[in-house]
Amino acid sequence: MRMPDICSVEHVRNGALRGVGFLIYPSNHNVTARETFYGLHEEEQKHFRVSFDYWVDGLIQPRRFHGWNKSEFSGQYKRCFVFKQDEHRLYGFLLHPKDEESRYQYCLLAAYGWKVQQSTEEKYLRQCTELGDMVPVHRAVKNLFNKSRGGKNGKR
Amino acid sequence: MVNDKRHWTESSLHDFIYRIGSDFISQIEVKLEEGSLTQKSLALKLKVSEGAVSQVLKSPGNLQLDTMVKYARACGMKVSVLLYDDGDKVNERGPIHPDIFRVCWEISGRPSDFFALPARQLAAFAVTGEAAMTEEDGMFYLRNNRSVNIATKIKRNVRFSGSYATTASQGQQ
Repeated sequence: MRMPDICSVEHVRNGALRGVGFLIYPSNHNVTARETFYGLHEEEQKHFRVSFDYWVDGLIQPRRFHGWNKSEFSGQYKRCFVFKQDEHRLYGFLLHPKDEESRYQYCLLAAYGWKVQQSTEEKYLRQCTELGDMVPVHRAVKNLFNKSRGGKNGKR
Repeated sequence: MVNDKRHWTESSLHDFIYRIGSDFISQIEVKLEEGSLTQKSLALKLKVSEGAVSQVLKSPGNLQLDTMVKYARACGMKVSVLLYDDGDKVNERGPIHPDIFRVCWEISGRPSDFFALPARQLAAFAVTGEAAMTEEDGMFYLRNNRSVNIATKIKRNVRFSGSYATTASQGQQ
């Protein structure tokens, strides 16, 4: 069984306090975000890339991305996050992977969804929450940030 | 050799334009989110259909300067075009969002001209490559070497005291 891995979104910068990446997990059929993203039409990808830029830079743009706070779904999905473009949804979860910088947030995108109804598709949030709790996923995150710290340029 | 660390906006001119257009539209959308303006009222002010407004907001790569001015004015705002050097010559980090410049302007007290800029900021500020702030005997001077237009606008050496700009003849804070 192949272990999960993480890759950055190509040509989207990771900032000092935020970064975005894709979860790669071939043995988990719920992990579809990366493959779907790179299969999107160029203009659709660009919209998401702008959104990634904005989130990394600290902008607040609820039409493009948002999380869920403790008042929604009884606070079960506070770690979840979504990037949106028309009906396309890229769901993921937020982590604080840097011991030396607790403010640093990493958004790990995992699942793709197509929005068909007004309300949030809770199944994607459940999937992301489960993935966020998995030991192999945590190990992959730790490997990524340990490598970045010890690597040549310190960046990923 | 292609720099594979380049930001996606460096891939093509159109990609950079797309991002700049998106930055502008994101600011219009914030005005719409605030609730003082709707797409419907914006369309009425612009004398176009709601569909036309929607189409513009969904097409950041096709924005024209005249459209940007019309939309800014319909929102009761103005728009500026800004050149800046963030030291990222190969564009690994992408553009800086205009809201960062706007916030800095607001923090500076919304200056409408150079005289309104706090002296400590002007001291580090070069107007163009031809005019610069210098300090002599504890006073700051805006000196122009070659640009006649700058000299005409300033008209005299600008003298600063405290943290506010003053003009020598007005002597006001």
